[in-house]
Amino acid sequence: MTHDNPDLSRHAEERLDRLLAGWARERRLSPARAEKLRHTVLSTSASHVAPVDLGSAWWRGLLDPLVATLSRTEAATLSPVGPGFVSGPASEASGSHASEYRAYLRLA
Amino acid sequence: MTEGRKPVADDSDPVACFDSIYEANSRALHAYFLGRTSDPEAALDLSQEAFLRTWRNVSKLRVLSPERRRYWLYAVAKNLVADHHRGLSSRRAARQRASAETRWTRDREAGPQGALESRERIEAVDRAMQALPEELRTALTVRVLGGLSSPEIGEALGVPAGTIRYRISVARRHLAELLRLDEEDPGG
Repeated sequence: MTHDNPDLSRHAEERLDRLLAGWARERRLSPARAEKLRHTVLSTSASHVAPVDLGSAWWRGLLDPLVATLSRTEAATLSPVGPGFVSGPASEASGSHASEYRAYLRLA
Repeated sequence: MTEGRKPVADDSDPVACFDSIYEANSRALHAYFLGRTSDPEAALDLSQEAFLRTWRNVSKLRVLSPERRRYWLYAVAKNLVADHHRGLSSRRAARQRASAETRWTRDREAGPQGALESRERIEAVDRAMQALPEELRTALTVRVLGGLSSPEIGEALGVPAGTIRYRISVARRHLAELLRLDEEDPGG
């Protein structure tokens, strides 16, 4: 990165470039250190980041255990969400679908 | 080292988006922190904190251009350095500056360093760097260690590219003086 510096001789410029190149090799963030830093960041803060879109399978995995738990207690504890949604979509809701739908509305 | 003009195609994946930002900026940002603090340990800590904040904001950053991401990142970095200087470590930084000034005087009196071994040369550059004013050191460090051009540095720091070029030139002149490079010219 030699510069045209009127205050420095060509000899000094070249020596400075060599010194700085050696210094940079020693002091810059090495690939190994960079990878370690990246790993630390991603591993220590994963729980703080909301996923943008992890797909339906991920959401099902997240919700299913909760839905199952809620469904077991649904009959005893859940009251209708609202007058129009007592049993979810009337034409399709039946049995476990209805209880899962009410549980989903509670979560939402 | 630097990103292209558009976000990469897989930026909808938060990890890929983070990696894209990290790949483009980690080395230069570390150089920035090293230039601002003259403290390798603090530079690593601050880099980690800056990228933690990047990761926490990745869903917002993914819609930005690489240039805006970099600008955001350096705005965070400036705040982190300000906090660092205000914090407990400022006393250590003050001691380092005083120590560097003492060493600078000693080095200037010690004579040419052409015969020094590689390790000693690197340490001599360390000391000379520490003796530079902070804004000169930062510009030169980001250029040399981070590999950014003057316009890129200027864009990241919100400073005209010409100012960055001037700072780098002055920093080099000071370094050459501190390291007494001109005095070893075999041609006279």
